[in-house]
Amino acid sequence: MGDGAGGRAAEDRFRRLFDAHYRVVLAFALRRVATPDDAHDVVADTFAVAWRRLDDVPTERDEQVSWLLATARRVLANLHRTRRRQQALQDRVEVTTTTTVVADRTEASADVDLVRQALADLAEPDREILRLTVWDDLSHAQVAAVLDLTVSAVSVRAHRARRRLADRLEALQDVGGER
Amino acid sequence: MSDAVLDLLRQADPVGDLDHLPAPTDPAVAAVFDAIVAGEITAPDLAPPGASVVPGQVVDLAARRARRRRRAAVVAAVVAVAAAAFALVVTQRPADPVGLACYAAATTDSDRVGLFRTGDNPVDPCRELWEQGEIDPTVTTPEQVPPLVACVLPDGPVGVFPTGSCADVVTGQAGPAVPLDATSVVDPTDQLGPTDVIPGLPVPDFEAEDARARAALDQIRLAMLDVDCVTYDQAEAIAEQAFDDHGVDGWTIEPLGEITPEACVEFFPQGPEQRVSFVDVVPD
Repeated sequence: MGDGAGGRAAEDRFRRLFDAHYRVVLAFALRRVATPDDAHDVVADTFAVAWRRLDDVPTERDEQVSWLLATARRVLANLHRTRRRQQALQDRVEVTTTTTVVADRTEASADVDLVRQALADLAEPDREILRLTVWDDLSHAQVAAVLDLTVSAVSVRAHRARRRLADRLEALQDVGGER
Repeated sequence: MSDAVLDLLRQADPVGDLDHLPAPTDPAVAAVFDAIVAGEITAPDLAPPGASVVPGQVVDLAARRARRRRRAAVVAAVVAVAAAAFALVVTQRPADPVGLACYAAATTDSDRVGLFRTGDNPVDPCRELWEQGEIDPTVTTPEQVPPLVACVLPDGPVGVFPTGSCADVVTGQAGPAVPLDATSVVDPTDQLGPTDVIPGLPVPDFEAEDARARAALDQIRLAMLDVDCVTYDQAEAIAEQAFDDHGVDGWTIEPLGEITPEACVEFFPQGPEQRVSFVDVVPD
């Protein structure tokens, strides 16, 4: 099932999965890649994996989100490896995971700019757990499934990442003389 | 993290509200769906979710996770054997049946992480955190994890220390740490709530089965996420409010171990036991 041979039932099930979570996966990708085209590629590949492995996809909604985003992370890893090879060949500007799509949110205040800088200054594991918990709005159980950690480890990491972000933001505000 | 910082972080989201994103019914998006089903977009060569992302070193982490669950699974025969091993003997020292702390050194004055007990061996959840670098960032592989021992502290909390013997643990309290073993167990009926869970046996999943209880737990979790430091009194009030908001009865709210009034706490629900516990957090 999942490769087209499963018939109408499989397609219906895949349709429900796609309709329910397309935007969530797209948002996840947009927050982690440089261009909308890359984001759409990530989403297409993620759902292509889901179609091929439809029997492996959980039936419970929250678990479906975790499964899809865990898959999207691996698709992203493939994409970044590909881009790095292309860069070496084509002398393009390097794409890193810190580069994100700037959506139509151009009225950001100076404080928002500072928090973006503070976030960019953190180590990637801290950035990712903050993205997952705050932007992607996942529970600690879902984050644990996406990152393959224990829930306790997620709680500890999230607590520390929040603390480091607050400390870094405070330092930037001090430098900016905003205290 | 304060409300203000959390709000700024949300505003910094490059995507924001999902409603402005293309809908699945959008023609371009529908075309992607059709192409996938028709096989025109094929899945990349990708290890399935749960497999390691390290090329050439595919490890089925789903299987590893399943092995963790099997270790933690409650089986009737295991319950009977564990009850025989743990219960019945007059206690040398009552041990906290639900919580434990993973210490970074063989002293209660070191950094620690609070957890609830799962599995037959309380060392296991601490070992997982050691392997993931959560206790000592310089330790990240199983081979680097020091010997770990579970001990009962003078006032009852269970600690897992990186040493070979509880006799090495510096407690700074009136009494030594003693081994957590079959001779230091409590009569389970003294410690249990409304269920018949045997102390020391695993809580398979902290998420409650009941939808209202799940909603209440999510409310508690989110409320504590927003605040930089929540004291036990504040956490208890948050929990009481959440249960009241969602019409949930019969849950116990309690501290894990001794918590000072000014200490910040973290939240550890135990769904099958209908228990919400809070443990103090040592600052980074």
